[in-house]
Amino acid sequence: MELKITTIIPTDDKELADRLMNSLIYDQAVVLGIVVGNDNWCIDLIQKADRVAYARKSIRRAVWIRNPKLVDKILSSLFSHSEGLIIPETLPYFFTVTMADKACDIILPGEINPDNVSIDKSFRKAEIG
Amino acid sequence: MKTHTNISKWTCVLIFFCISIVLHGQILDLKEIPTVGKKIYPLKGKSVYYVDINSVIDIQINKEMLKEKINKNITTGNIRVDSLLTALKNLKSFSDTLLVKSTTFNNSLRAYNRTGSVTDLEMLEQSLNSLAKAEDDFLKAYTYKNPWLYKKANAMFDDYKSIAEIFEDQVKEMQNFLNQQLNQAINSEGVFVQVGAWIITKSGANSIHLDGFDEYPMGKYYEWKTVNLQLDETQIKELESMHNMLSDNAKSYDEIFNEIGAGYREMLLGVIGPVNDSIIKIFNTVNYLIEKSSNTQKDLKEQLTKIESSVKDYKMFVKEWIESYKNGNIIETDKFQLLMRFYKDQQKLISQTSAQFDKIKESVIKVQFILKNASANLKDSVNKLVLQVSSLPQTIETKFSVVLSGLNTMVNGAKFNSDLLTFGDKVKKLAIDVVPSSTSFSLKFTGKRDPGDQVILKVGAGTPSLTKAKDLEVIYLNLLAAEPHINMAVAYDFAWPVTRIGEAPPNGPSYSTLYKFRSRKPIYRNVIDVGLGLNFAVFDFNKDDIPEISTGLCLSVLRDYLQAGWGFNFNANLGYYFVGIRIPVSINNIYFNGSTKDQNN
Repeated sequence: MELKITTIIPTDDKELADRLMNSLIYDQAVVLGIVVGNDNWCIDLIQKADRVAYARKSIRRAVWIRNPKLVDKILSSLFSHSEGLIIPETLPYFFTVTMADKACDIILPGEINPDNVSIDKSFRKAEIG
Repeated sequence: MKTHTNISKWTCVLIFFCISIVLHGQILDLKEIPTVGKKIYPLKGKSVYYVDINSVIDIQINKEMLKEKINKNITTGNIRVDSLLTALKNLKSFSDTLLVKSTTFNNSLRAYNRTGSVTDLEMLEQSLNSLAKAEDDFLKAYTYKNPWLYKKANAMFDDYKSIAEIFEDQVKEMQNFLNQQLNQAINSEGVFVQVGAWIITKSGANSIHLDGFDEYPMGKYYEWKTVNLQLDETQIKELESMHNMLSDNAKSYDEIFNEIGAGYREMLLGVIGPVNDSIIKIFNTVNYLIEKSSNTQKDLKEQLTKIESSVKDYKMFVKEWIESYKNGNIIETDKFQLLMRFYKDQQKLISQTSAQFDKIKESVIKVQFILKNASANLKDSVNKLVLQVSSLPQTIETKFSVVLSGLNTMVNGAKFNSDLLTFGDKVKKLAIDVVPSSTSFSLKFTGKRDPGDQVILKVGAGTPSLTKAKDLEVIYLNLLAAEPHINMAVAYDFAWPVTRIGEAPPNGPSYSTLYKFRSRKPIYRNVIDVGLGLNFAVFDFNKDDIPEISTGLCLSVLRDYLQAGWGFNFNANLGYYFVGIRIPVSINNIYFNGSTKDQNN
């Protein structure tokens, strides 16, 4: 599995996980596509998200949070700013974050795995804000 | 803060694809590639251009514009063609919007990366928002609706292609699809396209071979000399005429300048005048012969009367011709129209002359036979008549070809009546989908030509129901000696020696070797046309009737009609300033005056 533009958040180092997340969210002017979970769906999705983010690498980043408990406060804050979106109760899921640090669009596992164009659409929603 | 090094790269890609589908106003997108230097001159947005006489012309065919013009002129009312053209325009509008938005976004991103300021961050957010919306609109209009586009986009993400590359591809795919549909719709009406090129010189119009568009052979190779250090035949005659005209120094400057200003119409009459004189002479000779022939020689009388009648008819024809020019019946104020009229009149005069004089010659030969035993006086007169009759058609042709050459240069820049040029049998009739997207030709393979000549490029289209292709676009390329060159110029010089000798300034014919600078501006090349070089003149400083050679540095303007400089007379061992002028003797191409109207004033 080759990931070119993805930040993989550590699963056992909370301090590092927080630092990485905060840097991506608050220090950089980027939109994020975040995969939360650690199953096959996530493996497939993070690869696609990585390629879609790479297509506009100046402004898009992909993030893989395999252990969401480690950064739960940060995740909560992203959803708290967004209108009408709540953190999915079950894993896995994918969501995008705007430049203004708001959760924007959620993709949940379904019958068919999302393709690159669907993920790009989700990134674009975040870019529109 | 991460810097984004690949921004400019993908902006270029996006700009490229947007430009590639921009609908320019012209079907023919031309570039002039001169034989000297590396600079390439794009010829855009006009229908008349000035190009160097030895250049290569590269031609790109803008097919979108071609189809648009076909729809306007040929397939008017075909709803399918209309709707497909509208779809192509919409596609262009989308791609234009993407170009604008992405440029703004990239500028904002660059500004933010440089400063990191809150203001720039806000600008970046706004521009990203705007770009993403434009992209979303495009995707909704095309990608999401068309499975093959959707699939292509997915595959390109898999290949780590950039958004710009993906959109470039999506636009191209859509453009190709619409164009294929449009081609089919146009082809269903049996539309054909023709592209032709002609060169117009004083010897007429000749087709130029365009690869892919016709079956003409390559034209004759002729390179217009950029370094010319020899006087040509016309210049030698011009020099000779000026010398004969002014060698006695009888004319004042006023007289000379009056002659220069005499005007174009007078020049025409100056040419036809001698023709008229010749006719009168022939007429007189015939009358003399009639008078002298005895009443018993019925055959002779009959032949002479025939000659008289033919000469009378011809005289009337020429008189009408002269009157039309003399009485201001010519209404053309445009120099080009005047040239065309004059050209047609000249053709008519030449053909009429040769037809009439063939008949006259026949009768004259009979007269010569009848009078083989006549007196010496009569024989002389008949021989004179034979000579006059034989030489007149040739005289007319020669005189007019010289005038026409002058006029051709005079109207440099004016349009040749392109309606007269129709596509020949060897120009291919091409279906829209097989029209080549480019071609080129070298002016060096268009045969003998001179500055002032013109190349006409024409795009036409038609259907089987039309008798001939309709013109969709006509472009004129006026040929100039645009690149730097060295040429020879003749003049008549007046010298002011540093030490004054006698009353009148020494004067005499001269020629100069002049360096001409690069210019594609017709006003410069046709009017100002500065030249720098050496002047060689013949003066008689000491009035001993033995001319002396002088050499000087020379600056010329107004197409070498006015030259001035400083020289040195080696025999008199004396420096001098000089002014040289070209005198409008009949051998010259005279184009001092503007329109014919001006000359009447």
